[in-house]
Amino acid sequence: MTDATADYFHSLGEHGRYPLLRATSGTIRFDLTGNGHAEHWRVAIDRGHIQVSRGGEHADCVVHVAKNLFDGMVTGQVNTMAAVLRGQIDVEGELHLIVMLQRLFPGRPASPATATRRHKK
Amino acid sequence: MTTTGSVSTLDGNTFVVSDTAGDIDASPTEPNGLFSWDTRYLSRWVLTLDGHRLNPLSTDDLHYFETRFFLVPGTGTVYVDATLSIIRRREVVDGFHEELTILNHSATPVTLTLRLDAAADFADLFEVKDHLKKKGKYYTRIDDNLLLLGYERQTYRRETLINTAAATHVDAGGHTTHNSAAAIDEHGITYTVQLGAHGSWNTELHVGCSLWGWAANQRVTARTETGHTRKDMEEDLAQWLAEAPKLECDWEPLKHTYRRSLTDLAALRFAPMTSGERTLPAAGLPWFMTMFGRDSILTSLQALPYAPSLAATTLAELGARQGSRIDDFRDEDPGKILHEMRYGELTAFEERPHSPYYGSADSTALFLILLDEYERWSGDTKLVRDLEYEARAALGWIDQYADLRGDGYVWYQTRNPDTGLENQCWKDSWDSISYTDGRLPGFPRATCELQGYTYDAKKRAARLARTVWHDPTLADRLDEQAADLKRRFNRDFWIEDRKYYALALDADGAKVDALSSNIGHLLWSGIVERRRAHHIVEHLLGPRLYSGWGIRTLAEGEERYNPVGYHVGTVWPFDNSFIAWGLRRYGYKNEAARVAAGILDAAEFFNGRLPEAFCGYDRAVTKYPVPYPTACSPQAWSTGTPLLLLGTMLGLQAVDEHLVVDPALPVGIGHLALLDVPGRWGHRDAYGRGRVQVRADDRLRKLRPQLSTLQTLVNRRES
Repeated sequence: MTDATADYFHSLGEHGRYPLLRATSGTIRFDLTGNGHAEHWRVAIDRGHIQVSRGGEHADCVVHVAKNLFDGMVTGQVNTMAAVLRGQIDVEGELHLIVMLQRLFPGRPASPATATRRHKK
Repeated sequence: MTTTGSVSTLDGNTFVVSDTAGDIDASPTEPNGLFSWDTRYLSRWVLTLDGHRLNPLSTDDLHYFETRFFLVPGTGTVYVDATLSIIRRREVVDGFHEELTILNHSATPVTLTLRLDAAADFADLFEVKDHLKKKGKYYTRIDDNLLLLGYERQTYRRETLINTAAATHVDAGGHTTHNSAAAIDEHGITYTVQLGAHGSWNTELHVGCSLWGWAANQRVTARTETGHTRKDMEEDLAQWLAEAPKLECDWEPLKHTYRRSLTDLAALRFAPMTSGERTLPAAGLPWFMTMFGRDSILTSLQALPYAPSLAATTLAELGARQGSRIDDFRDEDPGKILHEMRYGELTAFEERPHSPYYGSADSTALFLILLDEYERWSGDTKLVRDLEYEARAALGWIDQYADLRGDGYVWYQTRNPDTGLENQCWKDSWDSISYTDGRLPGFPRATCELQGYTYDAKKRAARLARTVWHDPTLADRLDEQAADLKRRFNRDFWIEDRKYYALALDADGAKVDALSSNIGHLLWSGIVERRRAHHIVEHLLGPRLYSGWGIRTLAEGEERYNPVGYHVGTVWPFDNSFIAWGLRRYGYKNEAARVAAGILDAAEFFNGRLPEAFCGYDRAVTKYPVPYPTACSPQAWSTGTPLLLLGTMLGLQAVDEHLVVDPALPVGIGHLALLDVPGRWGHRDAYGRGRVQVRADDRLRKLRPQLSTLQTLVNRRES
């Protein structure tokens, strides 16, 4: 069974450098819940350099969210900002860190009709 | 809606719109209420005394965040019982406070029933605007001194918390007693007031607007992180006004307009939920108290010589939210600058794409223009270096994603046909782009001003690449691309037999031939060939476009022209301010002064506060500017308009290390000075003298600097 969240964090950590976040520093912990247990992922951002680890250590920003919802966020099915506004995500600490990080998440997948309309160079 | 008789009290994106008695009685379509984060937290807030509504004697607009209503009981007839007064003082500071005071002017003690009806519909501003129905359920809770009104839809929850305090009675001898608090029911609060002879009674209410789910199992109010007091706000406003240049002028209404503009601009500052204390201009009351790419950028440009910090924040915030992925629902692409951010229920449930929405084809080029203009004024090369990545991404968007037909122009076509915007230029209503015969072109569309902005953005980015980023190769390439764009634009958009530029190109690359104010923005951008400028100026100030108050969005004689049509015949002050800047750029000083005078003259009729738009009727017909029925006010880029017009009259320009002043004043203004204009030069004064001496008796006759006659006057003097 594929795990969208684990796949996403692995590729996030492998790639390592993100110019979109080069002005951002801080740590975010994701507390993902579901099926009666919680898993923790910790993302450390240091001026665009990202390191991913597992574990429940302290972080500047703690994001509580259901695992299946998070799977949707990292595959573009769920918009992070909208999910925050509708109360599906609890954010403790520095909100701006998750606001910046979610820019790396993919956009909503195209429906076939609109995809053909987009101009490709 | 009508804004007649409505009173607004605001702080950033929390605001109250009520009638002149302070009551909120929202109908489905009236934007009255207490709003915060695009949600209506109070839709009913009605004060009655012994079952009767109260009559306003006067309303005192103390600060933008504070209003006082002086009320008396009515008897249902014209007779007003003057033995009681009620003072209702409200502030929007960290929530909404209201203080109620009743004064007994008679020697007879009275017992009164004071009632405040309260209800909240939690409408999303989009629902108010588009008359939509709610999908969740309401609940109410009563606690000690608390009436809680709630709304819930799945995990989405918003609550209004109305707190009452004990009331205080002061008798004629000055003795104070405290009464127990009020009786609370699900629909409001009732006070039984025992008022002695010449006594006074007083109580306070606090209304909090809360969002749920922000932090684990706790309720937080929207402004917890930036909590501030009334004293902070008074000091902040005083400092804001003190830091702005001082205006000296012999035309009194202009001073009033200037002060009004500065104060409204302060009121419209808004800290997005995630930015901490940094503020940028929200677009306008009541519909647009949020971050708009285009509006925030254009307002920051208008305000550059007065409040350069707005530009810095706008650039930083929009840069931090620059598009990073392809998302068709949100019309997002990498490098694109956002259109609009919203926080309400429809956005939360992704029924609207505003989290944020990227459906504007101009904000990306405008971002680059602001970045360059900001550096010219401030000398802040650090910000330009910090935003180099974003600026390059913006340039990348223009070349890679905006050119939908692959022919070197910027085009738009929404990829979200259900809730996206059809027209992604500043004239964003559905019918704004038409041929002369009234037909609407297909998509994609390439409006002319988008090409102008793109030309200007590339020229300006070339300068930054050369001087700040030290990338001469990029600079040369951008200059070449800009020159090529200008050449092609002048070939493909010019309508030779009418001597103006087409409003747009249609999906087939053919010209959309209506005459519009958009051609004025082309002057601002510098894309107009010099030999053609006089044709453009003649159209702009000719009878089809110029109403006597200002330049219409669409020319009289076009099939879709309508003087009360939102983008098809009304006069938009901000539009005129940028056209005036464009006229200056091409050396048409008198014409710029004429446009400035018409709009500033109109401002006087609106008590110094220009609305978003007013009707396009000819000045000779109406004698005063007729407000557009649902125009927003105050609105940021209308608020910024007098500031930019002052700058164009004085001919202010930042050139190298200097502030260049080259005044051309309208008739009726004898002298005009801006003292302490901030910039890379420190602070400098800018003086202008009128070409016509204004005599004291002209002043007494209250001559306005209306310039309908300027042309003849100037011609006479120059001949």
